[in-house]
Amino acid sequence: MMSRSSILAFALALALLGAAQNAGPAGDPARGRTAFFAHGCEECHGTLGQGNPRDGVRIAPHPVPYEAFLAQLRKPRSAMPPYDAKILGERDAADIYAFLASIPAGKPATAIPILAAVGTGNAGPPPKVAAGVAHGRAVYTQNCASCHGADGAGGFGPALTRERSRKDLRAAVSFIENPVAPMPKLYPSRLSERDVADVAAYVESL
Amino acid sequence: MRHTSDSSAEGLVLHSEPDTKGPSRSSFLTGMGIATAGAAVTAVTPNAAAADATPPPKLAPPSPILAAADTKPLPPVSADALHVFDPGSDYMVDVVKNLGVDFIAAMPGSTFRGIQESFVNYGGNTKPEWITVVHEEISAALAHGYAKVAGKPMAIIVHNTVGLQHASMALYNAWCDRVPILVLVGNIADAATRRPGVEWDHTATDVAQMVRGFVKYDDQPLSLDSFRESTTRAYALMTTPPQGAGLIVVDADLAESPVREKPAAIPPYRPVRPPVGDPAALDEVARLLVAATAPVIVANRVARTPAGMASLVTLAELLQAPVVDLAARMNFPTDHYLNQSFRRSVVAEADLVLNLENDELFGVVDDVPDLVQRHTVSRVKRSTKIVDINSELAVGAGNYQDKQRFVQADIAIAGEAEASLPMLIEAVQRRLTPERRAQNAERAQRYRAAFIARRMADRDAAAVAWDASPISVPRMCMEIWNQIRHEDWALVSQSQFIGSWPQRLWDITKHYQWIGSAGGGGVGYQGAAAVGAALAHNGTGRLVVNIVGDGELMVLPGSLWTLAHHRIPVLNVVHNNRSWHQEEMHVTRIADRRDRNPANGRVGTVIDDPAIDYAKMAESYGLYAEGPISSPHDLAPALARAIDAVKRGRPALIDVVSQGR
Repeated sequence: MMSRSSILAFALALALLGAAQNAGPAGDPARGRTAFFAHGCEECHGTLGQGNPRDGVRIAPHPVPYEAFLAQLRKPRSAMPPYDAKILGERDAADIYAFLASIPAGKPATAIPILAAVGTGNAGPPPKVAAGVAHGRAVYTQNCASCHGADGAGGFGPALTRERSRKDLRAAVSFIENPVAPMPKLYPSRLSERDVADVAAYVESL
Repeated sequence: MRHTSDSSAEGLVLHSEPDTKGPSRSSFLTGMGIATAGAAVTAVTPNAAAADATPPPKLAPPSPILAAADTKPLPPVSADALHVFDPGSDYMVDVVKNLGVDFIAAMPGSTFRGIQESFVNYGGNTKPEWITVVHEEISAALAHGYAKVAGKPMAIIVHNTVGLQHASMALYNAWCDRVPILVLVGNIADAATRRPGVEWDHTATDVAQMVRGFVKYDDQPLSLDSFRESTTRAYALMTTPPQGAGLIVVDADLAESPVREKPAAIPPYRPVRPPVGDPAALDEVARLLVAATAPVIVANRVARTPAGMASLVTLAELLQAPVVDLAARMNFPTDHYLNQSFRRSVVAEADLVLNLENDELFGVVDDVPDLVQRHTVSRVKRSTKIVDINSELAVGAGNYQDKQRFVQADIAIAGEAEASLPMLIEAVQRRLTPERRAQNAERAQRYRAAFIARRMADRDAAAVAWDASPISVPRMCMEIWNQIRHEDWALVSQSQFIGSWPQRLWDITKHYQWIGSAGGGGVGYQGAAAVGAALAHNGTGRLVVNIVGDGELMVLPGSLWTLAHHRIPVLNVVHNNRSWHQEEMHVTRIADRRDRNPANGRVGTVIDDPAIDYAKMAESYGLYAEGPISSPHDLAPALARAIDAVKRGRPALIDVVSQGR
């Protein structure tokens, strides 16, 4: 039986491994910014990786894990053009990733008065959702939206609207915990058990 | 009967034709007698000896019928050798006035000098009022924007050949957008009356040939009666859906000469009623719609008038069917929960797609993604039924391919959507049972939730990079919205190059509040179309806003001068990404596919060395202007100052250094 301290040390090691996986190889953010512009990334994704509804999804802040980033770069899903190693080498990729990872999250919309005033038209007030679903939406925005779209309509990754017709809640949890590549494995390194349960509930609500 | 003068080596030579006494049949016949008796008096005499050597042919006396006709009462003598007192162009102006045309835009051109003078003097320069522009392409794009707001055409008049060629691209945009413009073109039909030199360069035997593929009707009338008939026919055709420009050639001789034969009185204009779909077919569509479990309405040019928008809301609410607004017109309120324009998944889930006044049906039910292999992919289920109600079905296409790929609908009805909707609504109401209404209400809940989720997702997305410099496009749009939302406002620009943020986050609820997107993709539309749109809004008290890309504005920057010259208040906000950004992305994409340097995607696609100072440019045209504004924190105060200027009646421009999209 492992001692309490051994368990903690093992958990810490797992977390560090996960963090290292997500962070990717060490890169230089300043050099990455230059490479980001030199390769025309900002044309579709914006100067801060914010994306736009028509041409490029949001890729920062909180970029997808490095493996997913690299997979999309080399063999993109959707209409993004490929960036082979011949024109964007491993170091450039690592540096660009470091730049994206260095971009701080700005204020949420609710803290920006102009955006906070955006209404819901004649749809009525936003429905009261269970606390878990609300938390799941926040988890989704931070970790999933860059691939699956801001409202689950798809992007790099497939659309998740009506996912409930394909997977029930238990199946959704299971898939998030043990995804099929190229979907990154964020549990347990980045997402807790509660995060997974809540984000699955949110996806089921789409 | 044109009198022209030329300077030549021999000195001033007067050219005149035999009937210098005026237009009446009496004087015309008298003139023939004079000519018979002594041609040397009035014939063209560049060389008197040659004239003497060739005696004029003898003319037969008038027939009894002609002689009898000549005894009718005649107008007073209308011209002498130096004057024309009743030019044909006065009648032409009466014809145009009879059609209710309020404005005519033009850059001057001598082939239409006769009718120009009639518009401004005889016509009193009112209804239509002359709008001065500095390029014929501005004339046409201006008229395009005007018609979309006013709901009726204005006129433009262009110099032949060179002027019409300048106008042609904007006419093509209007064609693709199915917008009516009355196009008048000056010409000198009779070669014998053309001065040597430039008048020959500015005439053609088939004037409309160069634009015939993208105007709905054209004619080259050679009498005042046929001018009246052709111009009235042009107006009727071009205002009947699907709408388009009508082109009438104004013969300079007919315009400048005295009236030869008194034309008929001009009867009041009676508009053509738009085509309505077959009632039995509409009833069958109603049956399918009521039976469908997931119907989707796709709208493009539905709301020709505010009534069209109201009808579309009624139909959508009866069925609780989501609407995908492709937005060539202001079809559906952006704050309505059934507006699911940014959730194309509703099309994938649909069991019935109702396509209304949309010539881009292929792009709704299928797609060809921009990949190396251009495969067609379907966006709908195999079992999805397609219903097409569309005035486009009644007209053909020629050289230009704007009708896109053919889609075989299950039911296709050649009728205009707005005109057909009342009958369709009535049929749906007849067929809706209480049980079906209850089922539809359940559907509504799903769309309410989806609308809210979409709005909130867009709102959250707009927050990302909120403080970025260059300024993010959603921030630019939302800073504008924040300043106009409590005003009576109208947006007169397309939205596709600004991420459709106004349609995503602004509450656009009235038909006049948005002009809709443009057609044809001809760059240069926006700056000039906004002038016409603002002209149509002028006097309503509305705060008019135009968000224009820098690449767009630089094609026809002179349109700003017309704003200042005619005191047309409008707030121009330049989305200045210093690039033809879409093209920059295209070239980069191709370089990526070929494993070549993507940085060279900027060669030939950016506008940054030197960066253009749009504020200085606008100031030189007479506008209030500020910029370049790079910090998002400086934007709101600058907008406020510009809006203040606009409210005082002065057009304004704010140059915003912005993100690409």
